[in-house]
Amino acid sequence: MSSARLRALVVCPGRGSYGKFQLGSLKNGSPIISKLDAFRASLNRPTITELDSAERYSGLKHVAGENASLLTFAATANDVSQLDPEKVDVIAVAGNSMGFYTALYASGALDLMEAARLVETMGDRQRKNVIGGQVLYPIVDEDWVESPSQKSTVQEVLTWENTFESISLGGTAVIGGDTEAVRKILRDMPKIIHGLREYPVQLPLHSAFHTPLMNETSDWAHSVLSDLSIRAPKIPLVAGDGRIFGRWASTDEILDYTLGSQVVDPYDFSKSIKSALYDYAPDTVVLPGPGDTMGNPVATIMIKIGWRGLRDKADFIEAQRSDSPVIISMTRENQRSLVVI
Amino acid sequence: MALSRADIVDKLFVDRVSALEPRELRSDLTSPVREGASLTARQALGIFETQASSRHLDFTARRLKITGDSFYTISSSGHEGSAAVAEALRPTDMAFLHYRSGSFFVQRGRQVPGESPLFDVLLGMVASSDEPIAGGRHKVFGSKPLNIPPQTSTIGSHLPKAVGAAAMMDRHQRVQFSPELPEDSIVFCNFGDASSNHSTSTGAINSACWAAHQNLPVPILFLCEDNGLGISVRTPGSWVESAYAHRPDMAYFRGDGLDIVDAYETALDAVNYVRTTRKPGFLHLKLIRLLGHAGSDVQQNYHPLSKIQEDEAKDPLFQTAKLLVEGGWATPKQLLDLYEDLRVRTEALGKEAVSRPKLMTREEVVAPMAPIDPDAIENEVLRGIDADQRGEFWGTRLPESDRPRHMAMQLNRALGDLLVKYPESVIFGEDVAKKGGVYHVTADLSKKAGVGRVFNTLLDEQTILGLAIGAGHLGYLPIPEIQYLAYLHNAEDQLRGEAATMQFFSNGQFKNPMVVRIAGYAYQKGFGGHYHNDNSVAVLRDIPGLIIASPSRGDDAVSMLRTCMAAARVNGTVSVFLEPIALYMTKDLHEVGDELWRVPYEPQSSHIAIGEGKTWREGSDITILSWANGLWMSLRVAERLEREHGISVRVFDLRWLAPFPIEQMLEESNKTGKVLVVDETRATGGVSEGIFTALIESGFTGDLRRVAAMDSIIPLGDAANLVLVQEDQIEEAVLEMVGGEK
Repeated sequence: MSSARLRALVVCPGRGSYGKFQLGSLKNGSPIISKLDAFRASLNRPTITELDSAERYSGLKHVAGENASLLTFAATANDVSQLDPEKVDVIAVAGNSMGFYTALYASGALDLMEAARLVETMGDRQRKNVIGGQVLYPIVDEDWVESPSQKSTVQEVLTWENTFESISLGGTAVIGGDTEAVRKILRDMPKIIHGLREYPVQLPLHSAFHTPLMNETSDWAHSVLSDLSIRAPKIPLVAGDGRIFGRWASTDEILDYTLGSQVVDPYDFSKSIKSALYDYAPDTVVLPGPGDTMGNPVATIMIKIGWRGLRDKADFIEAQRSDSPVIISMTRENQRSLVVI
Repeated sequence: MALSRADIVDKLFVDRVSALEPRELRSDLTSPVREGASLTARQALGIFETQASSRHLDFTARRLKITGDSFYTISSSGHEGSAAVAEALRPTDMAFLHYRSGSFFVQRGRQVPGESPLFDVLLGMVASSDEPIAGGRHKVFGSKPLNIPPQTSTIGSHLPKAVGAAAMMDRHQRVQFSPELPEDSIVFCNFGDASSNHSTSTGAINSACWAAHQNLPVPILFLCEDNGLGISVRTPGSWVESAYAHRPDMAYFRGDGLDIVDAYETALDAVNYVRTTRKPGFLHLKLIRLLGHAGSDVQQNYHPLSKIQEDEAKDPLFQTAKLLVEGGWATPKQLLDLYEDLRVRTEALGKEAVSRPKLMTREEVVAPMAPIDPDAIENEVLRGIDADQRGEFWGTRLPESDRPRHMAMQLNRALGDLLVKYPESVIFGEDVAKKGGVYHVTADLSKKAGVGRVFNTLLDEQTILGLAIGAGHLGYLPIPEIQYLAYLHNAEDQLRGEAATMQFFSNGQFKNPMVVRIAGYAYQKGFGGHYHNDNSVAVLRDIPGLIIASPSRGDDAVSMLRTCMAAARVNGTVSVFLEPIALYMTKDLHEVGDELWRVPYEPQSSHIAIGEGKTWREGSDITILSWANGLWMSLRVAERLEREHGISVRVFDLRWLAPFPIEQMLEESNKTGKVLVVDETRATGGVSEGIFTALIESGFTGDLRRVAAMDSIIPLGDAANLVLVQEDQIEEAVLEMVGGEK
């Protein structure tokens, strides 16, 4: 084992990550993409390559769960396969929301095609079957420091009817609710300008995952995916409740979590990243695939817990400019080169 | 450079595991790890990871000590079998841990998702303010989410409170209050073989047996981790077993702490016994101590090398590795990979921990010590009591309808009302139930509130205060009684080292609110002497954050008791309520029949804030500062001096001995420029020393004198008056101070 290798936590992004800037990023014809293309073709669905090669990024085509899910998975898995073992030692894997499915693959708990089956099955369920929705709201200020007032606004909204905590995403709260609740949130929650956007913002075509509104989906998943061939992870896998599945974990427990609690209970991404940092002390966090969007959530978690002395956005930017960035986004060429062949 | 014992233990483990013969790997990890065991292979693998983590924490601590970054190197090496005990318990079983509990702590941390026990322990070692339980104030094993109240546990002083928590665990059946823990929870408490001899330990275990002997539930599992050494002193091989295997109503379990299967199976039996019978259990695990007592301890100086090597050969971590390899559950390489991975992880985590902030200001250090929120306390005092519930408690004759009465009676009524106001409150001590206390302060309360809420304890003050701490941890509002001030002293550390430190060591996350009532001071007619009329309070005055209330008359006593209870509820405050025995039944002040020391009972009196004194008498020639018996005497002397000498004496009652009403004291003193402190405690270490210092430091520049009790043990009978402050001394001092001018 070379001491020069970066000890890395790999964080896999959620479904909404593949955006217009990713178009064309999967043209390198890797075996992973070929296998996934074949899988999609067998289902009579647009292949990953077709989606990735589209002239224009289309909301309907690229954002819809039945396409976006496997597209994001493919891009992430493809990047994970390109990590150079001479440069990087993956010591733990986590994910956000659907990214947990990808993490199952990256940790070795699922092989590529079983992971693809899981992603595709859950994604396809979204076709014409979006249940409620998810809304984003920042709980940090412009310096990425937690804002007590914004946090208390979110707490207040969570007391509204059929409104649930969906994902604790670092500096962003993801609130889930039924259609009426989402409408009310968008109408009545105090507006706030953060960065260039006004919040609350609804995630397009997303169901209220990680809330009790998904109980039926979870039951259904158990009925169609209980044969999922899960193995004990080769690399420790961090779940959305902070639990860590190690090399001797119970596969029944992983399956039960994946199809049960992961779907209907809040996904505490913040806790999972904190757990991973505080248990493994990685040199860096690698964001594969279209995971650049995870940079802000991970950075705000690091700032919240004072990781590597980070106190605000300015500290983070400075750390990123150093020779050993705390986050390596594989979307960014200069950072990607630190971890790929 | 010579290898340290830590290096030797480390290398020996690696060499011995490398030499193990790999077996064909089995994948059925739900199978027993060894034939006939209930411990599964998966559990055993998890325990190995915990044990190896704990071992590397010890190594990292020593490395960080060399660089000056770690302040704590007492290790858990050799005691890793406690991980198997944690596995047999639930994270909701409250655990009071001793200082070699690294493996227990890590194992419990693994049972609750999102916990980071490795990093937390390292933050504690480097005293970082980011450490989640003590905030850098001490290296302790503690955690709110893991139900582990922190303590340093160096002298077995955590056993009384562990027994206290256990004794209160099932009391909800008799009190309209339930702790926020599952109903079948038990309490766990571990300690070493040497600590088992400490009076706190023997007393606490005795108390648990005493209660169980009467069929009172005390669901506690004691774990004696017997490594055969108390620092350098050998524990006789069969001592622990001889001392504890045959105690009444306590089951004894013995296991091998070096073998996780035996440790787990025995622990499971013990846990099940305690959980189902609600009786105490004593688990005795034989194990070893590796790496010496602490980093600075050179064990070769008192322990033969051959014995050290013999123990190192018994390394429990290797025993677990051997079990796993020989069972086909893991290969030597897998275990060594994990071992090396943990080495890298703990080193990296240690590096991060070192970079974390430290406590930098005095304010930060003391912030959680004993926070007081005066407004919230006042609001709580003024919160009314439900009239119907009061009526139900007192019956047709409400106490306020009675004629004016003395302090003991008014305290009784205040306690009654507090029992109504706080359904979670409990009163206990020696003789407080049927007898109603030595001075009848708790008379009839047991009958009215029920024996579940007002109950007798055995004759042991450490147990009484430990019971209060444990009760406080579970959410109760305890009002323990110590029968006499002199009896506090054998148990005082339960306040000093435990109760008063809890918020400090837990950054305010754990609280043990209580109001300790103590009958104290001298001047008791027809009785007395050192053992019943002690006048030493110095031992309380220097406990940071401890509130000491000391009323003189019934009306103040009632209001101040309400304030202390409100502070306990609002801020988790620990208060000592020092009641002057000699004034309990006093009716008159200046002359027989004036009844000036009797007062009517007010169900809703005005609020007396903590640290708020009272001017009893206006005057312009001299100010007397006093409290309790001294106040009563001073008022009498002041009246006489006015009448006979025309001297105008101000009399100010401190009412609170901690914190002092400093601003008021200064203001009162400056009004006359002459101050006489009447101090019924001893000249040396007595309260007047603190009053003098406070006044001078506050800028008082006038005349300052005192009369105080002699530095003497208080004798029996009238001879006591020879050493105690007397009225003629007060009179003489005042005359000397103002005589020339009048």
